[in-house]
Amino acid sequence: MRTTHEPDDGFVDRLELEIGAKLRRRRTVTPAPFLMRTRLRVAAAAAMLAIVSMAAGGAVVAAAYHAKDVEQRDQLVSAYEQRAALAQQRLALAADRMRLTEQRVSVGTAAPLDAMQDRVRVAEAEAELSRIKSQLAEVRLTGREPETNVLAAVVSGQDFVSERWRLDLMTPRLALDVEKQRMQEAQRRVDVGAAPALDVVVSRSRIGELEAAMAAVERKLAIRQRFLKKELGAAEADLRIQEADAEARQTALRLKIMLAAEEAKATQKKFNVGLAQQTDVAESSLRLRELEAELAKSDLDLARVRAQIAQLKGK
Amino acid sequence: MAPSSSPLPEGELEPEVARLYRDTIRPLYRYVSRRVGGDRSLAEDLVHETWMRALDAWPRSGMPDDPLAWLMRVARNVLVSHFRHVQPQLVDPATLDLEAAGSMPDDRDAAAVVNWGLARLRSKHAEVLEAFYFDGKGVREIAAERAVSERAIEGRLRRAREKLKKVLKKIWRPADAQQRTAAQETTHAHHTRT
Repeated sequence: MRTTHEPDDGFVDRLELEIGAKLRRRRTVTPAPFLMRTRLRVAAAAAMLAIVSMAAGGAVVAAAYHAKDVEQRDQLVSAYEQRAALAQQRLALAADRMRLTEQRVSVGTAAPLDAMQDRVRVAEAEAELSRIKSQLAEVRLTGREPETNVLAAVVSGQDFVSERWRLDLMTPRLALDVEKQRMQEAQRRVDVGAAPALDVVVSRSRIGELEAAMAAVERKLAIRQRFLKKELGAAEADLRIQEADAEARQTALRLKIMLAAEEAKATQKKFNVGLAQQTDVAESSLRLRELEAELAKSDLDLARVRAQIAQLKGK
Repeated sequence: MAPSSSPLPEGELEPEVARLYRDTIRPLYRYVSRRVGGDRSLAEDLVHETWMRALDAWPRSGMPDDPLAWLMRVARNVLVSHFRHVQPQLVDPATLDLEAAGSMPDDRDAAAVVNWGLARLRSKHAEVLEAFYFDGKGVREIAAERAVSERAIEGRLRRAREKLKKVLKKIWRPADAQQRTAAQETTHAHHTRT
């Protein structure tokens, strides 16, 4: 039985995605010397922003749990205003970075894909700013921390939950275009023998993950609309959301398994010709088995949710 | 608390962090959740903040030898920092049992009050009380972990509990405080449970 101290699977998955995204963002291209000074200024500004962000994050947490009267509500509003200001700065930084990359592309020191990747970052920053503005608008109306639940009430005619879910679709759409181009590029390199076939599999897996994530959000939006139109009861809407999340998780895991299997095969081949150690083979095989175990658990979770839905409909 | 091994190459960092995340997220969440009385929203915020700190530190300084212990230590600091900045509600002392191990209820308000008090104690006192209340450990187990005698832990617990009560008196509701003073005059002190 689940205790109150077990994390929500949705939270575990969201944080995992965020950590993965943050690590991927770390992979930056070394700047050309003539751009160094500007890049350093951007980096210094980003560092300052990170420090202020931590302080603002602390302020949001502190404010969220004590917005019980007007004074505290103002505190919460002020914290979100601060976050919005920071998100605005982050957007400006991302736009600066994109302009620099475009300059480098124009002089041939960066690939067009780098510029596209920066456009995704700008889109991410824009989506984040819009999300915070939506949260701020909700906090101003309710005086409480913004809702994320499918069952949340509409506030003064505004459906903030759907609004923010729609924003979640913005970045993956653009990222999908970039990833498709990346796959074409990888395929071209593989065809001429300049890259391993695994590069195409990695791209295909990322495309699949992005498509699954987008499909899950679109499905959640549809469930939310049916709940608001009273076509679905609260219990069923809640279970349907869990089902959508579980299916998205299952799809993502299947893709990861496909990738891990390819990696395991590639490692085995390297081992056969003396380019990898026995421990590398064991690690890649273990990773595959771990993912398969996770998929089995995910299948079970999905089956449980579906059984609950069937039980609910049988009543 | 600093990470100890050398930084991993960029390509190896992501799978290693992903593996560590899957291995540690549930025990880390449980550790935090127990300390905030099962307040899901707060627990998620604190776990999130802990992982963001890990992502800042690990790529620069390398992975810690014991990642879960590192994460728990950072989570504790994040939690203490959070409770140092919040304003607690006035509390009825009768609702808090500061004597029994592992007795902290799944009640976010009670947990918030105790955490508010613990955030104002010295860490040597706060840590022994946390082990006693939130982790449900007995005196023997706490003593073994710290390689000191059970008698020393009993003494430390007693002093820590007194300090916690003293801190919490600042937020007792006035009527409760008066009743408690009257009650204390007619009752004996509680025994320490081991």
